[in-house]
Amino acid sequence: MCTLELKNLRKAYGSTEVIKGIDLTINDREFVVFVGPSGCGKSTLLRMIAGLEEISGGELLIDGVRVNEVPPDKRGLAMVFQSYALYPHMTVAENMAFALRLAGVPKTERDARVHVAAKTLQLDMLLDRKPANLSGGQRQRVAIGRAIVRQPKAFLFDEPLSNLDAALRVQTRIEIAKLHNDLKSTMIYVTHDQVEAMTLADRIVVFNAGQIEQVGTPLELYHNPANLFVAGFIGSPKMNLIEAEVASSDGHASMLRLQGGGALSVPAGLTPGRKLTFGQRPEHIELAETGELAGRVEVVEHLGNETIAYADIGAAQPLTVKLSSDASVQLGETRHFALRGHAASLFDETGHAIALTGT
Amino acid sequence: MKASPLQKLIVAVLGWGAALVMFFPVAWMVLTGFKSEIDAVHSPPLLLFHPTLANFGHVIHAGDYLGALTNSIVIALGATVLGLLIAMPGAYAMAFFPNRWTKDLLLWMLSTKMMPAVGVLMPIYLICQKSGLLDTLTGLILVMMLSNLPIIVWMLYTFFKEIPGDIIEASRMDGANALDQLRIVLLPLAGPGIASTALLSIIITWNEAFWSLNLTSSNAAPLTAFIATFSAPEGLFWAKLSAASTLAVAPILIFGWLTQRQLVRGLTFGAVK
Repeated sequence: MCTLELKNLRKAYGSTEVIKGIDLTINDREFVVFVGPSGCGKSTLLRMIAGLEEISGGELLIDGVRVNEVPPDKRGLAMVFQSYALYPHMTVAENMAFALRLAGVPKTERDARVHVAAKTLQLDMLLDRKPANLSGGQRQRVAIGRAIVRQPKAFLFDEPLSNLDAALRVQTRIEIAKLHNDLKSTMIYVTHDQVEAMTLADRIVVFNAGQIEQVGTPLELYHNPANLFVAGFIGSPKMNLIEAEVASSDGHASMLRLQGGGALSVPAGLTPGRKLTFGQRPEHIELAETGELAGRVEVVEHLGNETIAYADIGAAQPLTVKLSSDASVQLGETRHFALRGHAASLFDETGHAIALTGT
Repeated sequence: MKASPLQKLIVAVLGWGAALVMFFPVAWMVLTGFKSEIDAVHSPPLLLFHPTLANFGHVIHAGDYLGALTNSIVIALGATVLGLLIAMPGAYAMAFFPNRWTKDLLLWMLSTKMMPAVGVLMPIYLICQKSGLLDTLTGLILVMMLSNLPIIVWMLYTFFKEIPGDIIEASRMDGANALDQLRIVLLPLAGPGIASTALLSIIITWNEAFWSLNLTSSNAAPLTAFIATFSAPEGLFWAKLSAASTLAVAPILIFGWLTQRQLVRGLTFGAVK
């Protein structure tokens, strides 16, 4: 059982505020991912929850109890560090049993718990090794094992995969997802990688400059980003964002004039003359004989299962289009692109999403 | 890059040359210790002579060699242990909880070593005199410890700095209090560094002559002061002086030889990473 409540949580270094009042409730057994660009405060917030960083203002409640002044080890949380932070002079078994040893747990019970965790993580053959004799992936598993052994109320992960190579990252990601299913405990996971966030999270919290931009399930964030920041951050390749102006409207649907291209109808009643940003995911754009946009294809990436093309349409950013792998598109040719108005995202001048009718 | 045989030869010759230049005075001192006083001042210098142990016998019996040796050991160990005890919490705080003054503080500490010791001889002499610490082991241990403290703090700080902060934080999450962190995590990890710091402090203290000569006369005189007694106003007895010097440096030379691995490892720690 572990519910975490963050109430107007703040962190300031001198006069610089890095966490600007976070309100968030993390439910029992939930897998919550903090995501955002580097320097957005997500790691600082995790460290405040862990107790490694002092809380400057607001309240942190674990299971309803205020823990602002409670030292890290008394909060019942376990943390997995980006650098693994294993004790180099101890064996894998000693590393995993360290917290229990400090807590005065008898040796027989310690050994039993270490063995159970080691079996789950396939570390049983490595228990006598020192961290220096382990691969990166194995070290990461020991770090996770060290957390499991403590049977914490909640797990905190601070960018745990960023030191692993690409193949191992995917594999460990799956293992962490499995672990969450098996242990059914609350997990908070910090990453700057939106793919990790999308694949692991029950709910994603998008941070920017010390504030929450949006909280929601991965698909909510993907389909209904609350603002331009989230729209640009979630999804790979990125959502296309094109300047547009409302040409006409009948109250239910409006005609947009896109920068560098043609006109397109979107299901929203908008005031004619209004300037806004039109967003469209790359997979919602198709090659067509006649389309709303036209441009010269500048880069083509063949990924095998799909092809990604970038075209110069005369806007600030090239248009990104996700095509099937057999699409015939040549570098340098000028092509027309058909958009989908009902799958668009619209943002007003302040960057906030405009609701479409019928959604 | 691969060195050609010629380059290797040049490097070897230069290396041996440098080693000989550095070792020669020590070798000559040891040799002279085995000469008679007449052979010792012979010109041109003699390489072949009738070795004698008379000087060593004289030095050990006439002077209080054992007393001085004991004093040297007590002072070197005392100043080192005390220095480590004081420097460790300081270096720990500066390495793991630095603030904007840390760098300045470290530089300020080091700057005290830039001043010649003689510059503070008067005040320190007077302080020792007034507090009854002149010619006492306690007095010399305190002065030596304080004069080595900046170097000890600097070395420990560098070693502590090499330990990733994440490991200390992980141990905090695991429930280690400040003492546990020091005992179970920090000391084992910084062990080699602390050992080489201690070795260096022992060697520096052992060879220190300025304070021992100025603050002691007989009771607390260590080996460096003992050597000086053989450079008497009645004349310079080269052979006896050499024998005394040989006896004075022998313990620390043997000690250094035995611990050289640790010493080299500690002093080059972090240089290659």
